[in-house]
Amino acid sequence: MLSDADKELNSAVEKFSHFIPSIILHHGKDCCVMAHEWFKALDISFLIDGSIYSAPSWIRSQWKWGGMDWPLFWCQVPDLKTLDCGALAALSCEAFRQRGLSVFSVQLIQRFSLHDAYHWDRKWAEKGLLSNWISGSLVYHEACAVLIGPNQVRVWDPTDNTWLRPSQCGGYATTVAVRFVAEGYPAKIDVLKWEYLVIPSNTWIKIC
Amino acid sequence: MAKEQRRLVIYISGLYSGPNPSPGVGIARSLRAAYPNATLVGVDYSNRSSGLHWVDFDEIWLQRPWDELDLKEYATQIKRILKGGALWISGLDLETIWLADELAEHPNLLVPPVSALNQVKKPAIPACEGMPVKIPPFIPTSVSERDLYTFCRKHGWPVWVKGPWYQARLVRSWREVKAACAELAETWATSTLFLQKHIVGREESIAFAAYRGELLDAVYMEKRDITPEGKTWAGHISRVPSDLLDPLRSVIQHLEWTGGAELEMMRDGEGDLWLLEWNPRFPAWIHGSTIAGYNFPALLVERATGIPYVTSEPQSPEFTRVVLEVPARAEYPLPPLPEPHPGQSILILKHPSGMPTLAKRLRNTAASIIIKRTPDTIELVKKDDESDTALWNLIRVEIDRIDLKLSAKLDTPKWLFFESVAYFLFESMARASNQTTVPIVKAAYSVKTNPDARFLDLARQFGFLAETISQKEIDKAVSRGFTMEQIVLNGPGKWWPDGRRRRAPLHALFCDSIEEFENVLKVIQTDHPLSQIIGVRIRPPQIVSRFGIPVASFDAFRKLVQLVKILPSGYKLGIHFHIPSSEIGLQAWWRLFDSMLNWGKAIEAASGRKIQVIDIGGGFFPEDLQMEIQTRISHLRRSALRALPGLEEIILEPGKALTQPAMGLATRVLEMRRSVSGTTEVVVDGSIAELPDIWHYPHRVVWMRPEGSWKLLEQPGTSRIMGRLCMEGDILAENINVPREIRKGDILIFLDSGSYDRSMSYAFGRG
Ligand SMILES: [Zn+2]
Repeated sequence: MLSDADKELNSAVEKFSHFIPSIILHHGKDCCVMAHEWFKALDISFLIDGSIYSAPSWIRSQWKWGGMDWPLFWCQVPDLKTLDCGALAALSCEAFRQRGLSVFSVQLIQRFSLHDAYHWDRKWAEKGLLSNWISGSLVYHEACAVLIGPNQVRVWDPTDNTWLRPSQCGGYATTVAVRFVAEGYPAKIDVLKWEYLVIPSNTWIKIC
Repeated sequence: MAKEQRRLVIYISGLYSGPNPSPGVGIARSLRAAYPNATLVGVDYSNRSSGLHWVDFDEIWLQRPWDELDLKEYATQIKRILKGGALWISGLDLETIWLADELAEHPNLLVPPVSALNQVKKPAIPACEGMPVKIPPFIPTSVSERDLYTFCRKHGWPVWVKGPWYQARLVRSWREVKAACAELAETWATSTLFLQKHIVGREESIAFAAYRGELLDAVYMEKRDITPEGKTWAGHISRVPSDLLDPLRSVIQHLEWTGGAELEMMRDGEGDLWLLEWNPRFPAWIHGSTIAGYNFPALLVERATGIPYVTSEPQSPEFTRVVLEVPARAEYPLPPLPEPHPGQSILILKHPSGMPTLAKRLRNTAASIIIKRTPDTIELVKKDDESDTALWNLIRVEIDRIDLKLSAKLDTPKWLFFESVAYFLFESMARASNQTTVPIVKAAYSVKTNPDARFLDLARQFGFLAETISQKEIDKAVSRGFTMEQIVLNGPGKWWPDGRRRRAPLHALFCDSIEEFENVLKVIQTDHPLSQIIGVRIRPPQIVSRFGIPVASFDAFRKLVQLVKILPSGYKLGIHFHIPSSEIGLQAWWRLFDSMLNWGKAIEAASGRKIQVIDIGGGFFPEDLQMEIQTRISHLRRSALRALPGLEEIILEPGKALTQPAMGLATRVLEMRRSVSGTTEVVVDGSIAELPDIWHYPHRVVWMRPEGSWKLLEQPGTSRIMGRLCMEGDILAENINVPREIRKGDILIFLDSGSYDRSMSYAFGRG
């Protein structure tokens, strides 16, 4: 017998299963080259203590979190004040990638409350944006995984400016399901280790 | 069982429960849950200690503060209590040490043996050998000031100044190092203080309980919230990973540890663990572990007494603190707030544990072995630094040469120029930068560091460029024989005072702003070539600076790229950055260098224009230039060329490193003031008007003895040297050792003052 929470999660997984990780597009022209180069140089300047594994926490001080229009091109990035979690995650992945690290997009489903969902829905509607990332009290979220050892990843959440841990299970603002998107990497990676969790790539996995 | 429990009497000390709490209340809560019928006695040394009022204590045994206690008598009383069957769990580091030493290994005293305490002492924490943790580099403050300063530059600011058991100050400049050392020396013997590298990372801890070398259990705690002082406010408890637990178990066995403990660690960006502290007692958050199902105080008591405890179900792997108001015990009415001391504008209450007082008292007891001993393993600053020895030998020869008969007549304060030192510095820089393949390296002499003609002549003789920041500096360089082709012009006000631009073209010109770059482009397109190299100064985003183009702003970056695109092709494009390595640390300087190359790459990629020249200003400390830069010039060239393949020239401008050791200020003692306490104050006829840079880095001070020999004054000491000015800030040296034989009229020479001390000195108090 499925609990209500399980049913809600199943329906959210189904709803978000066709979501693909956000990417920032490039016009292939000077406009995007300039913005992209600026971003990369800025990231290197802010390497905390010189470690390429350090979190690009500067991204969140540069941009606020909120709703935005898609698609997003590189040349739009510097002048925007607000980016959503997908754009922040795409920027973080780009920061880690240009430092020479292997990265994977991470899609997550997190649990909040219906009350929060209502407020977010209204905020997005005010801007004329779709809040298709909300499913009841569950929301779709994006982050960035960095390879730190053989198949071993750490997950950076640029929206909350924190390394995500799988250890918190259930409750408010926790991750209940996750999908590591590991397509298109030179080495084929079937499973990823996120701390004690072993997670097959490209599949939604309920972790709670 | 209830009957057995009723027999159980447990003394728990360290009850303060505030923003920087001791563990007593947490231990009591955990023991109460485990032994509902035991008698818990709270011990503290101040009636301001808030935990006295915690409900779980059946009795309170309040002591007078540490400075009033008769320690011998107190030890006897505790011995009697232990003999009567009671247990003692200490929540205070220094009380633990004192008890371990005073009462040896009494079975009812649940503290580690002295031998173990010696092994967990900061900073070396020898016990951790074999564990997968690192110890941050450190250096005892008993070494010379120059070695301390080298440590700071090598590891970069901020650094920690720490006491052997607790107290730590994060400092960001040499002046702050000095102030923190003086402050901590109030509590600890100076020989126990040390400087330690600051590790950036996440704070994690291990807490454990052990009995006679047997690890009873351990947990891992990750902080989830911290106080402004960095103390735990909330945390997440989990099992200790086996790669840590197994070695910890054997360390504890080896140490024959008894009691609680906490290992405070930092996990850095690379995932490495750094051990910062090994506290010989339970942490203040120990009840958080009990909430998670690991009741360590109870485990410890059970193992020591054989009386089983009541287990309780785990409530949550996470805990947080909340602020609670509890009724104060009628028998311990809360004392009114004291009045602030004279001169204190706000009331600052001392921590009620009174640990500094106990530290002072223990200095003169047997326990002092643990408290007094100098750190065992020392990360020695490079002693075999040949160039430093060579430099120092040259300075010694120069001092030897000072004619004492002449010195009697010396018109002080007087600048002394050490010609052989200056020659050595310029010659070695010229040799190091002598590169014939592209990119060539050109040394530049920054005229502002010291415009003395003797330095300018050496610079010209060795083929340096002259780096100038005003038209007047250009005039000065030209007057010493530099051609315009050998002059680099930098700075925000470079056209001052008369903006003469009609001269022959300069070697290089670096614009300090977008506005200036625009202007320069107009001038060269319509009017005059100005310089064959046109560049811009970049303001590094990670550093607070008023100079250069703030590329952290995309708008500034975009404008910069647009202007670069219109620089006529006959000109070479350059970028320039200048950050003193002595202010940010050498590691940070090299990172800055790398990040500047990245900005160069970004400009190239965005503009399509190759960077042909980079101008690197260092503001290096002399030893850093010799050891870090001159020896790594080929590395520097390779990295630069890899990033910027079109690079043709590197202008290297070492700043104060070329002049700082080459001059000294001779001053004369005007008055000796000796106090009964042994401190001496020396008044000299020099002042901060001659030595305005005196507090930025250590200066060596030489005393010329009347018979002609001389002596370097040692540091640390208890005396100070004050300038002649009637100004509060005119203090030239503190914590220095002034020999008793120094007399009025003797000469003191402040070395290492050939750069900004000399060039920024001003006339003051001369009518
Ligand atoms: Zn574009």
